[in-house]
Amino acid sequence: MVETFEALKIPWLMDAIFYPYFAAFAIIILFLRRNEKLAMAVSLLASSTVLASTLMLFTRHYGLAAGHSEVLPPVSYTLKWLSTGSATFEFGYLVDSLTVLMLIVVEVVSFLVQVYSIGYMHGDKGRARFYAYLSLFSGSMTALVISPNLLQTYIFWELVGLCSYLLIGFWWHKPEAAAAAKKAFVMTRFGDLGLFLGLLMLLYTRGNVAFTDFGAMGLSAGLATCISLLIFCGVVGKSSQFPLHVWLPDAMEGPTPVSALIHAATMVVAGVYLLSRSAPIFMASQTALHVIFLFGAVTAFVAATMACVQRDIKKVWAYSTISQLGYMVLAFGAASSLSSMFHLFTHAFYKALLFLAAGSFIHHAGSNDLFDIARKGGRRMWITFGTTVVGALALAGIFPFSGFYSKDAILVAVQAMGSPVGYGLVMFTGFLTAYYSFRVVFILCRRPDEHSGHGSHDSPFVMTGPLLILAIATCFVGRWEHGFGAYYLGASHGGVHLDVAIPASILAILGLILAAVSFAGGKNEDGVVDRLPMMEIPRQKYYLDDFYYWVTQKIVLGCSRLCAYVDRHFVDGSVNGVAETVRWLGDRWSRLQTGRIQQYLNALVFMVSVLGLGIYLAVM
Amino acid sequence: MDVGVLTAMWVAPMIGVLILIFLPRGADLAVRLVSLAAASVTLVLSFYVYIKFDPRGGFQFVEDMMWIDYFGVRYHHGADGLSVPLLMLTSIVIFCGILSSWDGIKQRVKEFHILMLLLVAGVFGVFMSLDAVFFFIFYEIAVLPMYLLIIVWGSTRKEYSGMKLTLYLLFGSVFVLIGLIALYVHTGMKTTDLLLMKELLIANPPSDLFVHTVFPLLFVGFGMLAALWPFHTWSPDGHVAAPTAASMLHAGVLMKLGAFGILRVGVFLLPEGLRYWADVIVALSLVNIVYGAFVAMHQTDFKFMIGYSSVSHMGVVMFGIGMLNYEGFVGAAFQMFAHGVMTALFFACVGAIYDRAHTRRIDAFGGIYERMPVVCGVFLCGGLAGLGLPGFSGFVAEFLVFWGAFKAHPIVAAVALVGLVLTAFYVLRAFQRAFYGTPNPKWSHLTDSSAIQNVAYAILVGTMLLYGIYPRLFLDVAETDLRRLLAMVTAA
Amino acid sequence: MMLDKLSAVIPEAYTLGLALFWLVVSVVRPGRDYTRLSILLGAVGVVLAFQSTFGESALGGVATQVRFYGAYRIDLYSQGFKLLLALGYLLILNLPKSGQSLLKTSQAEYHFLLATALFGMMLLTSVYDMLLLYLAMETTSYSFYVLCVLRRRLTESTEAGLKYVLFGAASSAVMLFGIGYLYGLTGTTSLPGVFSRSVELGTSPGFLFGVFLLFAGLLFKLSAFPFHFWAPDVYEGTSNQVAAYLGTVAKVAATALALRIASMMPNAPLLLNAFLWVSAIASMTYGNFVAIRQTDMKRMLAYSGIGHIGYILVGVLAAINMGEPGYTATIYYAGMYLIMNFAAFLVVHACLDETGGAQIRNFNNLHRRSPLLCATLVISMFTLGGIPPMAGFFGKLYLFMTAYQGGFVWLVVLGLLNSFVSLYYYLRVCKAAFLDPGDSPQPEIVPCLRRSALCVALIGYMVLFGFFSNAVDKYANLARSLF
Repeated sequence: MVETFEALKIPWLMDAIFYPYFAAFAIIILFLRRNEKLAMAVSLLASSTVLASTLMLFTRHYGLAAGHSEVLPPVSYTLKWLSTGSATFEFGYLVDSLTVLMLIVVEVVSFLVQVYSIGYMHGDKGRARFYAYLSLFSGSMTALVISPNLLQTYIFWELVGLCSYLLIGFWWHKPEAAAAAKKAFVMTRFGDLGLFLGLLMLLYTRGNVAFTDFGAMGLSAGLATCISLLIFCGVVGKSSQFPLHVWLPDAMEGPTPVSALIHAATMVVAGVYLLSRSAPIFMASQTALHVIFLFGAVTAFVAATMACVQRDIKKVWAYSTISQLGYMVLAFGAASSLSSMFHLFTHAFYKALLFLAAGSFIHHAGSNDLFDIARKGGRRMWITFGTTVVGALALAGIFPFSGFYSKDAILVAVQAMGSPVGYGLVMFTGFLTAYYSFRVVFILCRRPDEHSGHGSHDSPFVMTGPLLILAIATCFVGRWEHGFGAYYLGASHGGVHLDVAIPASILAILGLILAAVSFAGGKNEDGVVDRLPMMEIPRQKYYLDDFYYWVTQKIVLGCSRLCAYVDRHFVDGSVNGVAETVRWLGDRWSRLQTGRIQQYLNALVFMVSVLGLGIYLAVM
Repeated sequence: MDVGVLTAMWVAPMIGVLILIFLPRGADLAVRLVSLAAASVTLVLSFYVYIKFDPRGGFQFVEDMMWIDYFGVRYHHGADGLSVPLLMLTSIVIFCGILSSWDGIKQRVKEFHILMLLLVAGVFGVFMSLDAVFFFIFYEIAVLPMYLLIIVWGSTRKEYSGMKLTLYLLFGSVFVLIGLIALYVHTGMKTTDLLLMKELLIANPPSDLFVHTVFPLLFVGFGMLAALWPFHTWSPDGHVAAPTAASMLHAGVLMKLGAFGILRVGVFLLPEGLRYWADVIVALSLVNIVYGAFVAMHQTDFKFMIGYSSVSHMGVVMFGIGMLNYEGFVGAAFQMFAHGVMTALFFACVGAIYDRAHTRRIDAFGGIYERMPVVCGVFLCGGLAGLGLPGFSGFVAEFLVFWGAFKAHPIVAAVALVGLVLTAFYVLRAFQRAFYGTPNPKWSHLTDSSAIQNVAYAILVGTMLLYGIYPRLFLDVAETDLRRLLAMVTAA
Repeated sequence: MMLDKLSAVIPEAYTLGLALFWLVVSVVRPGRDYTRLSILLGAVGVVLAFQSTFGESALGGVATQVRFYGAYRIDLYSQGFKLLLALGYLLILNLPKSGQSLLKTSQAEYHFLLATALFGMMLLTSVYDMLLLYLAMETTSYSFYVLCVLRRRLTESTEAGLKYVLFGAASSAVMLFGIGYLYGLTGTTSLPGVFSRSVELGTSPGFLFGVFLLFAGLLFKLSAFPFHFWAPDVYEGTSNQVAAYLGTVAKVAATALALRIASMMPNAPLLLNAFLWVSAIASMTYGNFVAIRQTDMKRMLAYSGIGHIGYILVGVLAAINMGEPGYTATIYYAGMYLIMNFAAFLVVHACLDETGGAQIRNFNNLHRRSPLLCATLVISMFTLGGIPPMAGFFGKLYLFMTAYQGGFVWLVVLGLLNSFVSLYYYLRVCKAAFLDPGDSPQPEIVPCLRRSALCVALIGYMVLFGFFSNAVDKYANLARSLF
């Protein structure tokens, strides 16, 4: 196998995929901070190089896989990086179909977002910095995808977190952006703690964290549960699962292309990718899978309810992303890595599309508010609007758009699990998804104000071009389900399962109708659903933000205040106290020295007698 | 034997001092150049030592001669895998320290550089001494100039802090001295040479009681310099009060002397003591890590925050030592190096800000990213290294320490890891408040760092990245000797 | 033959001659400034003392001999100390006198008294008989009594002198009482004779009482706790030169005597050990703690001196119990103490107006007024504080090492903690000199070549002596000659 890879020049291709982004980052940050045009060019050059290499890699690897009846075994190229005797860590590339599929997602979206940003970030002063960060992000994400062991994954896992921090806080002068950036980093890092512990535990018990060896670990069920749940903690943070999802909506403070790239298509799905990557460990523990399913289902449902009540277009898509990530996670929890990955694959395209389209609207209207955008002529931007509809159809799971296929696969897996409650919940979430996605469409569809003063022109082609490409992908990528399955797992998933597809489609269409009834036409800004009293809960984000606020303010900062108080008054206080005592004693004793000779002699005689007597008695 | 490269390394700053003494007052540029030259000589020498060091370990570049016959004091210098990286760290930090205070120190420039070089000579001496008396002498030479540096060029309660720092550290050295005297007497008053003492100790093993009482003396004595809880309060005060370059040296290098002393003297001579007290050490350093982070979170002054973060990070060093396994040891050694570079960088940045804005209150700023992008960016690098972001050397160090910790005490390791999240929280919170946000018009006059300072930043950030990306640079050097040290602890 | 016999006592003889010479001068021409002449004569004395110590053979070849009917012992130890004392005397002469430090008409008188005191102290290093001991002690004391009041017109000076006399008289009485007891019990005044019976009389209360009182007198000379009360007042009241003389040379002489007596007691009574133990700790603690509160430099030095006597007592204890290493360390420390304390006094004298108080704040801004003096001050403070690599550190290190070996662990711990406390006030002086801006006009410091040379020499000595010497071996020779 390795020889074949060498012959296909795949290691060489991997180099071409790994290095360009980092090189671009270094060049821009060191030399091109003032030269925006050149910085952009460098970044795009890197991006296109990587994209081209990825596509070449795909064709070669796919071709090779097609010649085999079974799935291709993973092959890795590594260098020794760190070794302590009890374990050795390597650094390098791992190539298998999962890597290649994920690479395609990452590189395609990266490239399109970079192109799109030419238009979107036009005139922004920090464009060079923006492209530097984008390059660093794409590079880290790529490296994460191709990493052959959990430690390297962790390293780049943190680095993409850093890039997310930098890019959310890109408009540093906005206090909300600064706060959101910090929140995102700290929340995800909190989850990463678990991942880190899981890594340590794996290291401790098996001394090996290479993905290729996960299958042969032979972990006991208890250990597997423990490790998988710890790793899952990292996934909860990074893939913003309930209850750590609160950072993702806030992260929308960043520039919209960033939201599309990082917070919809790539970084947030790194968690899902990690699940599939380390599937052998998870599959060894039924408990862990149940827990994961539970988290995924709750996330999917909760986030969908919250998406129903947002007025900010990016927030809708943010909650929708969380919800869809919940789908992917629950699919994995239902022991179907394939459907999880496939949904990841389709979702990346249509959600990137939706975000980029939202960016186009925002760029045009200068506001994030759905109703504002509608008033300012959202529907006249026909490419943007049209592609949004395509994205929404896919999101709602309407045949034949890509979302339909991946959701279908997930539903099949959930049904196979045999949990009616879970199945029902997922089905109902599908209804909500259709409702909120078409809520957006119908609101945008409203008649603009006559005096809005905006023309009907659409965004420039650098922005609409990527939209069109993504829309086309959204239309057709679902059809590739069979090939995807064959390539990824060597087993075909089979066609559409009508027993789940029909009820799911009916629910989706019901959601669509509900949205139409509520929002098509008229001027009202709240639909039937919004008037339900219980919708106050999702409107208040399930009080989670308040809870976290309380935790940080009262518990964390309270501890901090307490420690600082103890430090100043007890620890340091005792130090100063000792010094004070010495000074006080000195003061006291120096009063013996009165300057009067009679007293001296008295004191002398007294002390000599006491001393003499005392010592005499003591010795005798 | 000949006087070799190690002697040259500590003598070079001394020669610098002598030259500076005879320079006329007011020749500031000449003073700076001379001291930079002295620092570059040490930099070159430490590179040489680093490259020439044979990774098979043991003491190398040895210089050994009898010094005071009557007490068996020997002039014995040697570098092993533990000290070679620290020698390099020292020369990097002093070099960058001189660069970053190029414009900041305007009064009594000559005295400032004399004291700095004196201090550095002491630090080099400690890292290379293999004789207890010389070790102790160099140790004190490294501590004392700090007093004058703080009270003359410092800020914020400088007299109190300077006195506190000096007395505290000398207090620690009292313990060390008692411990050393006890060892000297125990080994029959023949020699103060650490290696010979070790042989005598092996030939004539001390009683358990002796080990159990003398080791904590050494540990606490040195631990004070490494800001061991609850003996840490000198460190934030001192770092805040000290001038930029002095803070860099102090937090960057001097605090390592403590941890180094623990390893070189305490653990080397009395390995059983470490084994006996390991749990206590782990407990104390756990407090260091978490408590330090919590207190850092509460600070409103940049330097206080960094000072307490140093307390937290030095806790990681002792945490690693207390784990009694190779990962812990090597992680601790690496953390010494990594924290040294990182915190020097931190202080360099804060110094640059303070020189321009004359305040260090985190709340007083806001949006100064606009005026000082380079300083802010570099500060962020320091912060990220501090919170253990991969790519920087701090990550590798913390990873190794926590791995070792997990092997020894999984639950404790998990608790200590919380410290990392807390670090992320307070570092980024400070960053958000001071550098991000709406630009405060009050600071519109601020300028970015000078080119000279940028050189210093580049060296420090480059070092962090280099060691973070290619940690074998450190590990290959340190491995053999740390294993040897560990073997002493775990043997028997 | 006669000459040969005399050659062993050349230093004392010369000093006596010197005293007589100054006596004559004080009668004939009292009012001149004799500084140069006195330095010249003092230097000759040092040369002679050196000659008598190292002259006859390469390494400490003084033949040990007991002279004057068993009352006087000459050995390398005594000669070495005589050299040290002569050296100290020479150093003191280098403190220039001003109109404030003594009456113009007392110039020659001053030199006369310095010389007699030196003579008395030289005798102390060699005493082998209790009567001679008393005689030498009183010679020294009386010289000092008068030296203290040489500033006749200043009331503080007179008061200081009076206190010193009263206190000294009381102590002399105590000592004489003790000597009487010992004589009564043993029937001999010879020190070795007395102490050779310490084994059989070891538990007799009378003997113990006598030894106790004898040491009380000694501790008075050393100004150890609880016999220290005179020291701060006298230092403060008297002129700088005399204070320096008292603070350096006189203490070295007393240390020499203490060691001499200790060397004759192979089996020291437990009582004496305990007494010295308490006195050592009390001196250290009291001296250092009280020094913290002082604002007057000379008082501070007095208290710090009390603290240092505590360390010397540690050494004496170690010597009694450990033998040679203890003596060596104590001798080393005493020699070091002479130099470092003198350096401090030199700076005090150079910077402070003798009329005004010798307040610490008068050092303010010293680093601008005279960098060299500032450096001398800082280094002498570090040396006194026992900070490496200054020689004082080595002194302390050797002391505590031997004391530890002698089993005085707690003494070592307390001693080190005390030396740590003392750093506080030493550093405060450094701070004043190095940092504090001068607020009021301060006395001009006249640049002076002789003093600068002296400063450089002292700095060099203090910094390098500990490092670059195997002098400890020589001290060990001194110690060996005691037995």
